[in-house]
Amino acid sequence: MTIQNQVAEMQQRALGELDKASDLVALDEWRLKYLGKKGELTGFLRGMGQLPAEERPIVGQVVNAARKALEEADAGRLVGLQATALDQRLATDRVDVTLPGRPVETGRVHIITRTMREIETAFKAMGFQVAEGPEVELDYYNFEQLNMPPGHPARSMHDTFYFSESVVLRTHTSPNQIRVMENQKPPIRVIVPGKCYRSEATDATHDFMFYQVEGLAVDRNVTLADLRGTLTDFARRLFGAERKVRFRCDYFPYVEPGVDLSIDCMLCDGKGCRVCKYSGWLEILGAGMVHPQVLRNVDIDPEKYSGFAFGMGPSRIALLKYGIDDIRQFFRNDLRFLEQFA
Amino acid sequence: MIKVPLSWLRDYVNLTLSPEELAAGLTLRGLEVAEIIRVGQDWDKVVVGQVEKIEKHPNADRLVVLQVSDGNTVYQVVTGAFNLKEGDKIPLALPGAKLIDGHKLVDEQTAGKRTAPLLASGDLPYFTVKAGKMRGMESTAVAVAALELGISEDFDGIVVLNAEFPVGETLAAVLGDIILDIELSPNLGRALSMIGIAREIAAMTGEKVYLPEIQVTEGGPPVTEKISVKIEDPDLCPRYSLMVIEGVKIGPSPDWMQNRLSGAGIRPINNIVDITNYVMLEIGQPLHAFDYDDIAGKQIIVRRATPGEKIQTIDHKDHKLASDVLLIADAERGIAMAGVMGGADSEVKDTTVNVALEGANFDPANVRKTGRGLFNTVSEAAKRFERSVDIELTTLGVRRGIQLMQELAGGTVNRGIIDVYPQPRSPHTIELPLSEIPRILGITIPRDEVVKMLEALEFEIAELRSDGSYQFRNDNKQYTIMVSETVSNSDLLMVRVPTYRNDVIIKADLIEEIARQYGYDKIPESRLKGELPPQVPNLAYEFEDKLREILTSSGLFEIITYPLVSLDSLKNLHVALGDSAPQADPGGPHLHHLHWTDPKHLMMLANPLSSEHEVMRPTMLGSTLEIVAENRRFVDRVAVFEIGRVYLKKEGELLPDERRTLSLAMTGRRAPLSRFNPKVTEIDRIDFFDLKGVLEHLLERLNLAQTEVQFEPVATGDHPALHPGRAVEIFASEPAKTASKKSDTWIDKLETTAGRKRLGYLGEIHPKVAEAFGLDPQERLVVGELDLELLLPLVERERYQAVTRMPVVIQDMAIVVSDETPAGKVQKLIQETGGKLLKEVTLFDIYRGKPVPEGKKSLAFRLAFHPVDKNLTEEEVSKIRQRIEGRLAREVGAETRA
Repeated sequence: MTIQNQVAEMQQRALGELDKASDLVALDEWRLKYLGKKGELTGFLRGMGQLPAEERPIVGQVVNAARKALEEADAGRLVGLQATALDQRLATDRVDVTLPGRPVETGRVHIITRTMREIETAFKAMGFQVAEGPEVELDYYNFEQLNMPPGHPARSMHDTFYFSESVVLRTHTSPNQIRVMENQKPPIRVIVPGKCYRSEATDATHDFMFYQVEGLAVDRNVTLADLRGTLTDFARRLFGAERKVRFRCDYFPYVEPGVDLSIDCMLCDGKGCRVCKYSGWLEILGAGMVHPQVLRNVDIDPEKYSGFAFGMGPSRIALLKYGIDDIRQFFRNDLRFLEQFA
Repeated sequence: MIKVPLSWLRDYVNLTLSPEELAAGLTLRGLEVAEIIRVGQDWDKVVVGQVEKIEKHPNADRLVVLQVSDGNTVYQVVTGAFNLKEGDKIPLALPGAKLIDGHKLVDEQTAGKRTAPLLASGDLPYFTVKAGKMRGMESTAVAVAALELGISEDFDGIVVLNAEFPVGETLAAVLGDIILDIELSPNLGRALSMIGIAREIAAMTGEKVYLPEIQVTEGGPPVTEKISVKIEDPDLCPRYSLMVIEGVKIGPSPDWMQNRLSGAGIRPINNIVDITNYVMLEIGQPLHAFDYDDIAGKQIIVRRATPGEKIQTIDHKDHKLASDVLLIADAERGIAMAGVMGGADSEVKDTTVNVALEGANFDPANVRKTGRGLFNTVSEAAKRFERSVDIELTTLGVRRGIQLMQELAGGTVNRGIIDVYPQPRSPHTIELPLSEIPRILGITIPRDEVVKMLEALEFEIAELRSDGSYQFRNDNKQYTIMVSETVSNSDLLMVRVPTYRNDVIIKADLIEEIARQYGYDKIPESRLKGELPPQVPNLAYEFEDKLREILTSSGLFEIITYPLVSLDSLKNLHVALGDSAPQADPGGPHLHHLHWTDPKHLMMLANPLSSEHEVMRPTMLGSTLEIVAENRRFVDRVAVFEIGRVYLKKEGELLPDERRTLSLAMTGRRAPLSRFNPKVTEIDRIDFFDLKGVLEHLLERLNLAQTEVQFEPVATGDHPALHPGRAVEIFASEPAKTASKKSDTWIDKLETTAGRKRLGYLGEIHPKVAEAFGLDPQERLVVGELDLELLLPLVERERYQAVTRMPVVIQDMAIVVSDETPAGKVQKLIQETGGKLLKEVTLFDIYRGKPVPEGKKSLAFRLAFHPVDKNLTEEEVSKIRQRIEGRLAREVGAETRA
C-alpha cells in the first residue's frame, strides 16, 4: 500500500471515529490520537525520512491535505459538541424559579426623618438653609421675645413643661426665629427642624412630643403674597400639584397678619370625612408676617425689613400623607410599622 | 368657642348668605367655624299640636288621656305628664317619628351606666313612635318632653310651646335652628358675643349692625344713696359700674330667653342669672348680680385679697387666697372673685328681692392667673375678661341688664348709675401710610377702597383738611402729623380704632384688617425675589445623614424615642450593682460613665405628666432598651439605632449641654429565617461581634484617617450596664497634626484623658439589666453609644490613594501565641511592622488543639502586599515576613507555624 493510500485510509478511519466522539473528552482523545505530537498523522511525517527524496514533497502534500481535512472536521465537531454540552448544562442547571430569593437585610430611615427631609428638600430648593436650636429653652425665647409675656392669653394654647420658672421644654420651634435673627442679619432664609413638647394628654391625634419645622424669610419687601406663593409651592410639591390650597386668617402673637394654610382633604377629595372633621380641609401649617415687635426685639428695623415665618408638623404631614390613624405609632417604633416606609 | 344660634344672630344683622357660605367666610376671616349644628333636622313627623281635652285615665291614676289636634286630625295620647292644660300647644310626635328614648336614658342613669348630662353621655337610644294601647286606652301619638327632642335634660313634663306657633306646622320650622360653633383664637375676645359676630358678618356682607335699644325707667331713689363703690386697685380694675333694682320677682325666664341660652350652650337658672348671661352673650360684657341685701355696709370695695383671706364661691368651694387675687368686697368680706366667679354669700337666690348689678372691667392677665390658678374650668366671664373686654361696655351692659330685669322680673330701678372710671381711655389712633399695603401684602389698593374697607369694620378715618391737618367726626381737635419727604398727607390715613378693637394697636394690625376685608383667598401668589443669603454647609446635620445612610445599609432601623424618661429606667441601668450606687468615673461625670441617677447632672421637670417621662435623659441607653424589649415581643431580630440628644445639666447655667449622640442595639437572629438559614443555633444569634462589625464599618466609612480608634476592654464595674467580659470602651487618639482646639467647657476637659477622647462604648448588656428592662437575660443583646459631638471633628476629607494595577502578593501566616494574648494586639503588630506595602491583614482562623500546644492558640492571617511602583519580588516579601515574625516573637513570644 502506498503511503498515499495509507494516509487516505487513516483519514477515512479518523473521520469515522470522529463521528463517534460523543463528548468533548472523547474529542480530545481523538485529537491526540490523530493530530497530537505523537499522533498518527505526525507518524507519517516522521516516517518520511525513509522515503526517497523525490517522493517526500508529494507525501508531504498528501499528509498536509489530510491534516487540513481532519482539523476542519475537528473544528466542526467541536462546535457541535460544545453546543450540545451547553444545552446539557443549561438543562441540568434548571431550578424552581418560584422559590424565594436570598433575604437581604437592610434598615430603614424613620418615617419622620424621611418626611423632614422631604420638607427640607422643598425649601432648600428655594434657598432656605437648615439651622438647629436647643430643646431645653429659656422662657425668654420660647414666649417673651415672641410677644407672649407672662399672662398672655396665647400661653394657654401652649401646655408647657417647666424645669423652673425661666426654663421650659420648647413648645414650638419658633424660639429659633429669635435665635437666628440674633446672629444673622437680612437677607435671612432658614428652616429649623426639631423636637417640641407639650404637656398634654396623649391620644390618637396628640402626643406630648412632636416634630416641627420652622421657617423664616426676612428681607426688604418680603410680602404676604410671597408667603402665599412660597408655601403654596411647598404644599403642592409635597402633596401633589393637583391639591387645592386654602389660605385663611389665623392668629399667632408673633406674626401679623397671621395665616393658616390648609389643603383640600386627599382622603375624601374635599367632600368631608372623619380625618378632616367634615370640613373638607386639612390644616398643614401656621404662618404669617413676622410681627414688627419681634423684629424690633432683635434690632431689625421693621420699617425697612419685613419677613414671613411658618411652622408645620412633620408628624401631622406624615399622618395625612400615609393615612396613619394613630400619631403614637411614630415613637412606639414598632419595626413592623417602620418597615412599611421604604 | 362660642355657639351662635342664627335665629338669635338675626336680631342684629341681616343674614344674606347661606349657613355654609357664612361658615366659609367667617373661617377665612379667622373665625373658624368648627361645625354647623342643625337643631331639629331629625324631628321628622313631629308637629305643633294643640291640647283640646285632658281626661283622667280610667285604669291608671298616674296617667292622663289627651285629645291633641294637628289641625286636621285629633289624636288620643296617653301620657304620664301632668303639666298641661287645655289649649296648650305641644310638640306632637306622629307614628313613624324617631325620638330619643328618655325612659331608657333615665333607667341607665339609675343603674349607674350613665351620668348627667344625659344628652352628652355617649350614644343615645332612640325609639319609633307607634300607635298602641296603654292600660287599655288607645294612644295614637306621643306628647314630647324636651329630653326626647334632645333640646334639654328636662324629662319631667311635656314641652309647652309658644302659643303663637301655628298648629300643624312642623316642629323644625318653629323650633329648629342652625347654630354655628365657632373656635376663637385668643385675640378674638371681641367676637365672644352675638353682636361681635354680627359685626364680622356685617363687615363681610356690607350689611348694617342693629344694636338693641336700651330704655330704663328709673323710679327709685338715687342709687348713690343706696350704695357706694370704691376701687382701691385701679391697676386691676380700671372701671366699675353698678345699678340697683328693687322688688324683683325671681322665677324662670321666658321660653325665648331659655331657648336662646340653651342654643348658645348655657344652662338657664332663673330670670336674674339668665339675664346676666344673656347680656354677656349679646354684647360681650360679663355682668354679676348680687343680692343687694347681702352686701354689708352697702359699700363695694374693689381690692386685692389680704393674704390668707377666705371666700366661698357659688360652686360651694372654699378658697384661701393669695394677695394677687382681686376681690369685690363689701364692708366686711369678699363677695366675689373679680371677673372669675361670684361668692356664695351674696348670690341671687329664690328669696332675693333687691339686686345690685355689676358691670366692670378687669385686668386680663390677673383674671387669667386667678381663674386658671384656682379652677379647673374657665368660667364664661373669665373667658371674656382674660381676652380683654371693651372698657366702654360696662355702663351699656349694666343698663341692658337692668332693662331686661325690669321687663322680665319687675321691680323699681334706682335712679342713676354708679360709674367709677378713674382714668377714662382716649380712643386709639394709628397713622397708616398707604405704602405699607404693597410693602406687606404685595398688593396695591386705591385709597378710597382702603377707606371703605376700614369703615366697614367701624374704623373711623380722619378727614384730611386743606391745611394738611386731620380731623375726626365729633372731635374738634385737629391733628397734624410730621410727614416725611416721601410720604405726602394724601398717602397717609389717620385711623381711629373702635373701642372694642383692643386687638388693633399698630399698623400691622390694620394691614391684617385690610387683608381680611380684601379676602385672604384673593392675595396673589408670588415668589421671594431678593438676594439669597450666603449658603453655608451645616456639617453636623449632614453628618447625621451620613450616619443614617451607613447604618441603614448595615441593616439597622432608625428609631426616634422620647428624650423624657423615668428615673426608674435610669436606675435600672445600674441594677447589676445592687444597692450600691455606681462609681462616678475617676475622670468625673461623663456621658458614658455617669452616675445616671445623680440629680446633680439631671434636668428634672417641675411638672411632669407622669413619672414615665420626668427627666431629660443623660444617656440614650434606657430608651433604646425599652424599644428593643417592646419589639422583641413581636419579631425575632431587632437591629436599631437612634441619632438624638442627651441632656447634661451644666453647673451655673440655665440650659443643659445637649449632646448629639448615637445609640445602637442588636439582638436576635443574625439572618432572617429562610431555606438558606434554616437553623437557629447559638452561632446564628447576634452577639458582640455583630455590632462591633457595624461600628468598625462605620468608623472606616467616616474616614478618621489620622485618628486611631481603640477598642479597650472595660474594667469590671466600669460600665455597670454591660457584660464585664463582652464590652469595650471606644477611644480615639487625637490626630497628631491637628492642634486640639481650645475649649473651656468642663465636658471637653473631662472627655480628654491623656490626649485621648472617649467616644463611647460597645458591649453586651448585663443579664441583670436585660431582666430589669423585661428582656430575656439568656439572650445576647449588644448595645453601643457614641458621642457624636466628639466624633464629628475627627472626620477628615477623603483623599484618593492610588490603586495598584500590578499583581498583588497574597500569603497566609499562622502564628501560635498564648491563649491570653489578645488577637487585636497581634494584628496591630503585624500591621505596624508590615509597613506601606502590607495593605490588608485579615484574621481568618483561630485554632486550638493538636498540634498546637495546650494553652496556646494558632491565629491564621491572610496578608495582602500591594506593590507601589514595581513588581514585588519573593525576596522583598519574605524580608517583610521575617521582620514581622521577629517582632511577634520578641513582643508576644509568638511562633510561626509552617
